[in-house]
Amino acid sequence: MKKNYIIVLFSALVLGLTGCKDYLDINYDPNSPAEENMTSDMILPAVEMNIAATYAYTLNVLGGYNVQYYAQQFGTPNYVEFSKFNVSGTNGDGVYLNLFVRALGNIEIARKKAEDAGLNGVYLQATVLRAFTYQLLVDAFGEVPFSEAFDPTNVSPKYDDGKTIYEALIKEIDGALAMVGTSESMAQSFIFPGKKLDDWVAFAYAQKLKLLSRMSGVKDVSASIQDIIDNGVLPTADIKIAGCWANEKGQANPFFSEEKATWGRANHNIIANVALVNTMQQDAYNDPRLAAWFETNGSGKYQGSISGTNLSTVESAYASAAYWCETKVEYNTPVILISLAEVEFFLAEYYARKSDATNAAAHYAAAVDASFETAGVAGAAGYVAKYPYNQAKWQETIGIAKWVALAGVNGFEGYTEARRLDYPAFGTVKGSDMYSGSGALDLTKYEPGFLYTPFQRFDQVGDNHLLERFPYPENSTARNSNAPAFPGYLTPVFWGK
Amino acid sequence: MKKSLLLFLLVGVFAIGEVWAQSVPVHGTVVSAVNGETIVGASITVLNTSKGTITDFDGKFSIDVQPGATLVISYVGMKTMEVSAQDGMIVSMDEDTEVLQEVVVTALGISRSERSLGYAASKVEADEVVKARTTNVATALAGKVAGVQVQSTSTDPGSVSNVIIRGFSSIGGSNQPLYVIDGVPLQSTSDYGNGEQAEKASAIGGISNVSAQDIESMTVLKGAAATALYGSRAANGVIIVTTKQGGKGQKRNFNIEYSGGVAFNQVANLPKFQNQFGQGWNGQQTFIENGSWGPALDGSIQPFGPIWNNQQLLHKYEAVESNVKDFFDVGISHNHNIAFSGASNDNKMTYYASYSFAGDNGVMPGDKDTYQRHTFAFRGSYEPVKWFKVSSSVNFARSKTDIVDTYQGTSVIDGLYEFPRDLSLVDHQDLTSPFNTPEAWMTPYGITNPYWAIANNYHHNDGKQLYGKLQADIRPVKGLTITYRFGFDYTDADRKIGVPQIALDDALITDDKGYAPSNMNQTGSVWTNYMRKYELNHDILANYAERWGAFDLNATVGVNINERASTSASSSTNDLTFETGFWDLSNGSSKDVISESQWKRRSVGLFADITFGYADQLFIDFSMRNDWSSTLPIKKNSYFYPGITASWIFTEIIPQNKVLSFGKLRVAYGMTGNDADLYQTAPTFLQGYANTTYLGGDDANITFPLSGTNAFIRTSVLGSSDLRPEMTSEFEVGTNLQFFKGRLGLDATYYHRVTKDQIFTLPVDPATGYNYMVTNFGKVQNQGFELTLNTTPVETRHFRWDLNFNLSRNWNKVLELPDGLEGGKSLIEGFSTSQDAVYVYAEVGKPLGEFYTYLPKKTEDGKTIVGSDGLPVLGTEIEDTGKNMQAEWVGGVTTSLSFYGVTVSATLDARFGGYMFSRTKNLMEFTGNGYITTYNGRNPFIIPNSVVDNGDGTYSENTTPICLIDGSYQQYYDATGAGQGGEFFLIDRTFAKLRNISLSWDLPKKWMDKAHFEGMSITAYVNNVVTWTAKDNYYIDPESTSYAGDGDLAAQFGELYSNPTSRQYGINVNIKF
Repeated sequence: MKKNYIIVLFSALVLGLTGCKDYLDINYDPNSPAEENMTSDMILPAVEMNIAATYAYTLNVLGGYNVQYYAQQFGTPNYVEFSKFNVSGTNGDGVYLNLFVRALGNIEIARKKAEDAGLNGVYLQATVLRAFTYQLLVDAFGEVPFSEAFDPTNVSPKYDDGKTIYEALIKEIDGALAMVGTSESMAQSFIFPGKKLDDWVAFAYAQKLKLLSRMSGVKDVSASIQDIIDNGVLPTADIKIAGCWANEKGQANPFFSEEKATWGRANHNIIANVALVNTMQQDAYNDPRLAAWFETNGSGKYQGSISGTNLSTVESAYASAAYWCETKVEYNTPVILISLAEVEFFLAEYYARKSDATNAAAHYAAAVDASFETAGVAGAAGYVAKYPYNQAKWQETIGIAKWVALAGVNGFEGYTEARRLDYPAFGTVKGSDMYSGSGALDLTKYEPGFLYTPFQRFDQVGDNHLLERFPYPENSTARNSNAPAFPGYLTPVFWGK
Repeated sequence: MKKSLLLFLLVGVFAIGEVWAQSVPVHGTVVSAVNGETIVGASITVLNTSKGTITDFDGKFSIDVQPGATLVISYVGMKTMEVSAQDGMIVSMDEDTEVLQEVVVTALGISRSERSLGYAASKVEADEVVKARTTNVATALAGKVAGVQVQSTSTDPGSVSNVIIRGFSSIGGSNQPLYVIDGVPLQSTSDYGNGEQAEKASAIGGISNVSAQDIESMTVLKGAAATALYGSRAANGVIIVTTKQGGKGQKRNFNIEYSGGVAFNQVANLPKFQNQFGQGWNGQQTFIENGSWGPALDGSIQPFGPIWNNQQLLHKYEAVESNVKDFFDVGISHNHNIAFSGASNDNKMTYYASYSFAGDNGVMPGDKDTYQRHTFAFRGSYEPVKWFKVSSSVNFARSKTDIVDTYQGTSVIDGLYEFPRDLSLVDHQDLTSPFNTPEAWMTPYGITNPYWAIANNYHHNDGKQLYGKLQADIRPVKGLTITYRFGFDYTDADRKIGVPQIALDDALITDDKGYAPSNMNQTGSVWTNYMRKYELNHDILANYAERWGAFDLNATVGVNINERASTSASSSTNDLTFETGFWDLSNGSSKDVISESQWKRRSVGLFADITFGYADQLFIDFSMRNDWSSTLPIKKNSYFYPGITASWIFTEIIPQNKVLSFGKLRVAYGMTGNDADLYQTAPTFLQGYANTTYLGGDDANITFPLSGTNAFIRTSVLGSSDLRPEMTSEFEVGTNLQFFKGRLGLDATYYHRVTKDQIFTLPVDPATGYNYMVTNFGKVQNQGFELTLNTTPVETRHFRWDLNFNLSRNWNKVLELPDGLEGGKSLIEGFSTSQDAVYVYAEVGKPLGEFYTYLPKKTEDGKTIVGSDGLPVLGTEIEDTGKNMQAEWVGGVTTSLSFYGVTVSATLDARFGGYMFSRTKNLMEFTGNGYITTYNGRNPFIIPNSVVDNGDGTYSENTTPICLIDGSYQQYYDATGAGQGGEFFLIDRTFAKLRNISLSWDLPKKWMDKAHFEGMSITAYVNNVVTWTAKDNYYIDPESTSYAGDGDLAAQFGELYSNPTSRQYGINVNIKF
């Protein structure tokens, strides 16, 4: 009796538990919101921050060393290879990953959601951010997947050439601009917290101007730029992420977090390069912007170091961190995506190419003005007086002035424009003329307004060259069978040909 | 039900009583019928009572019995006899030629005679487990079982062991076996730090919480055919732990046993340092460098370190050869175990209760590297009627671990290995002196005084685990047993990591000599994680065994329902108010991590196992299982896998002879399916963050919420809605042979295993929008053989020598990877800092784990190409080094010699082949502290056989020397890996390790009787006695691993700042009351 009772109980248990189908339907991550509940509003702020982090920190550092804004602090090793104009396949991995997966991958979701919901303003936001991000990838690597990107069924997307991508991005911006009405509801944003359509329209035109101008050496884009001038709206202030930063881990300007913050590692790697410092202080002219961008050294002076070394530790005045000047980035330093100065420099260049010296000079002066304004210092007129616009040597005038101005905006943009405009040019003095590898530096040999071959230089770039592009990132080349062969460190990106 | 059972068992404990009838003493002697020698230690029991004794050194026994009682006399290797008691009797025992009657506990707790098994099952007995004297019993298997590779990862207290059976099969998943204790699977629970402050694994739960003293035996089931019944998690083999159960003692119906001891830990295996050059850089003496690239040591009096408050320290510029070694102290460990067990007089009730304590203190000064574990075990059974039995096992374990972490920077190990050779460390223990704290430490370059590091960094784990089972067996009809078993394992852990604040203002530093100490300022942080998880198993089995003449049948069918779930929460704060020592979340000015994680998974399995036997010589077994798993796509969550084995005892048909006493051939084929990890079937989103990813560390990450705004981003892993389970299929064939009546035993196995459809998070081009993609791909093959040879070369009345060998060779090969991967390879793990980069890949046609790195460029005729600086030029693409992380041969030797109660035993194991990445070696060359950095006495030299590339396809001879003064000598090591590129950081993992020597003495029985003990033994032992490494490895113990947090395959990659291992000297005593 008792025996049978237990047997029945067991049998019931077996049948009862195996009968439940729902019992196994539990594979939904309780820590993740469901995709169908997501909106563009919840995604775009994170996209903006991913763009900001990569642009303001990683790309800024890579570019800043490669265009001699920065030199490596005495005794610390981290970026010394960049200062030799050497960037490896893995150095680009982070840029490629963050921009493709975290920025562009999520932009795709936001764009799709905005499109499905008929939110044209949000669609424009996503399109502009996509164009900005893709341009960074092309400018860094030359070619990247575009037409076959974002298709998980194709793990080996082909690379598209940079020009194709640029032209497609312009078309996308045009398309998105055509869709918006006079007022649209906009998604949450750190760039324009006011959520106003007009701001985004201006960003769209500025981004289009940046794309077109970059191509202007290899393609006649004058009609398109003229169209922006005639029919577009350009920004009247820097497009930047500001006002949201706090002096807390995870909440501060990312360049500050890595370089200066007291939490974490605080690398203190970066010091001013003699090229920038001595160019900004020559012939008794002291560019006031220098004080906005760099700290003075222990003796209250501005002192730039040289590329290609972290200096010998043999004790001397130079073998001292206090001898050099760190950057002045603060926790709340804005992350500038497109500065007003850049817009004005592009316009100056447009008129220069048309040989319209009057308009070119006016926009040149406006650009310098905007740069001083961004730096928060007075004296733009003094700079223009010292370095007036010269139509005969417009590449050099604009090139050097822009190189200086971008030192306070973004190292990568400065590096990109120096590659494109070929100014500042390389002088006759080399790093090895200023430094022997030990003992004293003779920085007086530096020729202001010129770049120089680093003390130790990456052999494959050689003397008197900038690194023209970053190697294709290893997280693509190692995984994508359609990744092309690297065309070489001296092969320019399409706009530099 | 549970409550009343407990009550029953408790009553049993206190109801022990003995009633003796009138009895008479009987004396006797037991001898061997073969040689007439007396037999020592033969067991004498009185039939149908709990009374018993054993024979002494002269083979004599004495026992009080009632007149006419029957004595049961037994001895290993002899036929058990029943004789009636007579005073002065001489019992002559025949040898038992029916060897290998051993019973093995196989899948689901079913006992089978070993002879019927068609697959390899290796049993390790209690004394072997105990003899290893390791706190973590998994480590005790090292060197003992063919085909099982045990890697102790570290000798730091509380470290985990990696156990790999028959090679690595899974690229993306776990390769660890499933531990099953008394039929109940255990979860494995380890701590890998918080991603920043640990590079090693510490045990919290699972097998590490089982006390060696509670173990009756451990059985390793290796092949798929053996393990299929355990379902998904058994694909990598199963280690079955059988615990001690209650039983009657020799004189009483209960036993009390104590064992305990003390051990001393001493540092071993430090890197080999150079002692010719002192503090400095590029051959120049500098006073604040973290390394020894300075001039030759000359014994002069020199200052060092910064000038702080107008003071500077002086020392003699000469080698302090043992400065690192002197830092370590002798750690004292102790353990105590007490067990109380017995059975009721009617044998209906048994009980076993034990308490164990293990307290380990490692070689770091003080008590910051400690592990303390308390375990309580209670097991009981009650069989009120013949057809019904209930049994239970309830175990509670509590562990506390203090960990000295091994990260870069202000860790102890980095402080030690970057410390100049000319300075003494032991002089820097006074932490009230600013010269011994970061404020004025001898170098400001990110590292600090190890004494300060040990005093101010904090990493503490508290773990609790409650596991066990409740089981009921009913036998409604003869031959049929129905079992219900409820198994549970609940583990929780409180983990905390504290990083002290460093806030220096440099005000008192006169001339910072180039680098201010405040550069290493950190705000400090407190990180906590609270985790709890559980596993529940319901097993319902029906077993039917019947015999018809020469045929017998043993069939089991059953169902298993499994649920596993976890909840954890992490929080952290930084910018501490109290710089150090107050490790509470209230001690910070931010709350910068608040996160939680939950998961739950379920599976249901139906299985059957049928064995047919014929005449005790031929056995065929069929097994099959179908699983339904919640982690697979809901419509495709069912999978089936079968197995078949056969064994034939061929000695049954050959004439009995003196040479071959037993022979078995076996063959098996089986499959095991493995389901997916959690939540891989649909896209998921995370709270927004932005990663800058360049310089390691995620300190520069941006995290949401930000400025009052929240946001999400999609994870970088693409899930798959059509995942299939991984399938492992394995064929094995083997033989067991016993010669000379068991004096020589051979067990040989060949296996061939293929794991296909691996579920893998495949790295993909980020241009897809994802960094990884979950997919089924890839085939990995393992094949190899296992040999075990057990010998007893000498056996006389008072002397016995056992010598056992085991050897296994595994050939691992990746057969298929997806086409999309360039060169058909997929990254497993890597380490990179700017130009130093080493990666391991899964690559088609090669064993898992091929090392790639940047290699120096060579001309076609093999000359080294150097640059204008005379230094080798490294290629810009990573290249195959031809080196792989897989071992080729793994083997072990155990031996023991016994004479007059004294036993000397030793275990040696060896591994041949395979390479590992060593950050310690990297540090030795980077800092100039390593012996490796004294090539050519640090004098200038031109790289032999080197040329300069003229750029036009021609080469000219290199004439540029490498010298210290321009930095190129140091660059030669630092940037070009001494001319070998990244290959320089790979070391040969080959080793032979004398793991244990012990000397144990069973005190004579006569003495025991006077002391009223049943037995007592004293053991002295040395663990990790000596390690012979490959000749180019004078850096680390080759068992050291880091990266365990990335999976056990990734853990094979190598080590990152691992602490040195230690040697242990101990003494233990065991007393049976």
